[in-house]
Amino acid sequence: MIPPKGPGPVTAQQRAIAQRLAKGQESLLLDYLRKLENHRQGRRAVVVRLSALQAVNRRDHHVRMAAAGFEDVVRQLKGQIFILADSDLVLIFKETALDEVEAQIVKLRFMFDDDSFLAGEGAAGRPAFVDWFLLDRDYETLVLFAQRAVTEEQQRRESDSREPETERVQVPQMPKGDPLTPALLAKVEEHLANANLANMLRRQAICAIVGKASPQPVLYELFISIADLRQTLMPDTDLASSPWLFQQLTRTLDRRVLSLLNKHDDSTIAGDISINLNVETLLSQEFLNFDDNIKASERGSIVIELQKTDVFADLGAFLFARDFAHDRGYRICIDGADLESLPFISRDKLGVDFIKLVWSPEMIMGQFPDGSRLEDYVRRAGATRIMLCRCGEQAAIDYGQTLGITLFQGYHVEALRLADDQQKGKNGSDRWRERRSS
Amino acid sequence: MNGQVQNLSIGPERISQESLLFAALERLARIREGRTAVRLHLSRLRPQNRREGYLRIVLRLLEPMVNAYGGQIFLLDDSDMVFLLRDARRTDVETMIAKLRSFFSRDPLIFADENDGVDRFCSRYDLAGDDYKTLLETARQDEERIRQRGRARGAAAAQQRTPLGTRELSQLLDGLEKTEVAKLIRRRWSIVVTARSTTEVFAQEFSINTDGLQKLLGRPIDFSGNSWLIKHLNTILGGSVLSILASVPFKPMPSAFLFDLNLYEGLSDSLARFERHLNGRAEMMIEFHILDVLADSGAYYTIRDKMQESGYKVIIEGLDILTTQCIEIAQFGADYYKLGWNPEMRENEIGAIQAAIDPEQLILEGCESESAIQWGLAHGINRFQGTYVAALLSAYAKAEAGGAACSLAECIAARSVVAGPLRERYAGQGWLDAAPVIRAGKSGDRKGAPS
Repeated sequence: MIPPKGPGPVTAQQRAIAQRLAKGQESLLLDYLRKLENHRQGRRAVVVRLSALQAVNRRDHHVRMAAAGFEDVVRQLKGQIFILADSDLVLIFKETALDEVEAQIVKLRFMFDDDSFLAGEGAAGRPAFVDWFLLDRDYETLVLFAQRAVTEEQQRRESDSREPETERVQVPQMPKGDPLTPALLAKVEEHLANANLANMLRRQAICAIVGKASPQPVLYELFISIADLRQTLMPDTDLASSPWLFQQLTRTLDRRVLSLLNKHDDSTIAGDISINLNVETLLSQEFLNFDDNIKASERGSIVIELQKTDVFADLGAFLFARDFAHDRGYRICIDGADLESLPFISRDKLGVDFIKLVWSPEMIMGQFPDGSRLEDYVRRAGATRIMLCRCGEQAAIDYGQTLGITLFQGYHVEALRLADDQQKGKNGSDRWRERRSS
Repeated sequence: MNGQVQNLSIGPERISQESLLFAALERLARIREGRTAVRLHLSRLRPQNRREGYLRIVLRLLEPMVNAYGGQIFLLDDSDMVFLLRDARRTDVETMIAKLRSFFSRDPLIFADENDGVDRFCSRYDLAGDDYKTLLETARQDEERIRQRGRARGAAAAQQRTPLGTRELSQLLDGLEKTEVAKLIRRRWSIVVTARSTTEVFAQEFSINTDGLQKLLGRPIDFSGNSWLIKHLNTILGGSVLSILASVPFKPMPSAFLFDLNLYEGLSDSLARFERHLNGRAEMMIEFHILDVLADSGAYYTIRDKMQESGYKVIIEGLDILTTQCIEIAQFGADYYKLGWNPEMRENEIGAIQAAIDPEQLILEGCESESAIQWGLAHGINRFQGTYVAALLSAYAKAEAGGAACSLAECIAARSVVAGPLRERYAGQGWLDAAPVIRAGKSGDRKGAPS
């Protein structure tokens, strides 16, 4: 179970950061263009409009990663890149690098495939994600573009230093409901103490996908639907407003889930399941009761998922609980790792069986924010020990497979299974019966 | 639960486990042949390693073996466990003990045994022989002690701390609205031992003191158990520290401010306002907890870069022996790292930390004695924080001001607050905000230093 993302840095503030990162890049671009005035032949330019993407897709590391894609061209002295304050990229390059640049643009499109801007690209009156220029032909246009960028950037800087407060106040915030407060949480906890959450229990398959073969379920993750829970108990509350209070809520949920599993008949929880728990829960009487109900031979096929933050909040307790769980035969998976946090987490150092990695399109660039390679990480951790989750698109599976990953989870995986079942003339309930009887 | 295992529930009970153990041993007086007992000295473990959850697991691990050998387990009041067995195979017992030892392998009790081979973790008794009398006598003493204490227990129970729960936190936040948060702010001094052999103030850290919060509820609260609620509390409080400090008249102005902020505060208005208030007069250091970094690493990279470009120093806090062993520290890319002082840290452990981070980047916190500083210096660490540091600086500040008309303890206390009666009483005193430079070598300089 992955907590909702916290209130990340907001648009206007990000812009401020980008401005500092890109200090004077507009002027540098203009200077560079002027130097090329007599060397236009055989040179092209491309403008990548990252500024048009949704805020979530143009955080600082997205911009850096996108720019890093052109690093080779720059290193081979075939081009020069400029990161403008609004996050747009401008690459001026020699024609000999055209293939490389085009390939990189394809990657970028892939990376931001899910962005609504790209989805609506090409519609009448909408700017393109990428604009190409021939310096020979479009030189004046480009110079005008750069001049305008310099002016806009100067105006922005001035207004920033004059009225920083005003700008911050105008930050657009999506109303997502009232913040979660301890008082509200206390009420919810009370309500949950004896609630039956059976109708909110969901299962999603974690599948092995090898090559083009259809997905083979190896585990079923059981979890409480947070959306349903919110809808039922606190419809006007923004659960993401405090990641810490949310984590506290999961402690209560753990107990409800375990009690649900204890009530179910044996076949429902017979093996092959993955459950999200807190470290504290593993040391509780409720977990021991759950353990009593599991046949020793089946513990090996049960995976316990622990949130990364929970693990590091009390490492002593985690190591103790891990040793106990391993002694009983359970397997442990670290949940909630994403491209940004993965480099902090070592499967080896934590002594766990699996790491669950949240898919994001920027993984296609193959590198972490610090520039180290995802491929190297996966090799060290063991490709078969990584589960790629939240796979909402085929790209996740395709890319995961290039890294050697075989375990996948997410809506797209569900869709593939459904399509496969339909092809074989089965429906979902048949499949479920099949599983229960096996 | 098997009926042969006695009363395994953890918590208050009418008949003490000590008296049950004593009675069981007495009953064994005539049938001692083949009987053995083991006492696990769990009371000797560090408190965090004998928490209720841990004891529950130990009981669970022991249960099958004890049942198989028709035995009983007793969980004593001090967390020690005694189990009795009948005709047990020695190898089974030893395998179990070895397993339990491995569960506690991170406790100093276990690694202390590695040096001299003495078993401090458990004692074994062959009840057929003289061991019986020894164990019976110990059990009698334990039983007696518990009975005596039982009478005083009522009073003690009333003093027990309430664990921090959502309800308590909610009440705390309500109370905060009515209180003067400024009085809850504490100043923590940190020092750097320079290459010139001077000891100077490195930074002055300002943060909310949770002990002060307890008064708001009027009853003692245990803040140690619930990290999520405390994280939430700190998130709420962090910003208010910045706005309060802007109006504190420091004389002189600290040369470096250190704030413990939640990640998003790094982009907040209150920080920007404080920066404008400082107007370049002091260095800014911002401390983030590893949990905040892990919770949203993408935001961390952005904020860290922004801060470092603006000339801030970024500090990572929350490191101890275990975290340094379990996390890839180099990934943080921070300027400094706070490491909790632990006198039990072993050479190989500090060695591993030194391999991951330049000791020059470490700040040893929780230094309560000179030995912590000596240890740090010997390992290349030259930045320190803790009660000893505060006392050292206060003593020098007081001595430089020509001996203040107050005790050292009062001087330390006054220097650690930014509002309230103590600060008001000594307002205008030269030593109140002074950041003395301590020069080594002259014996006279040591006069004012606390011993």
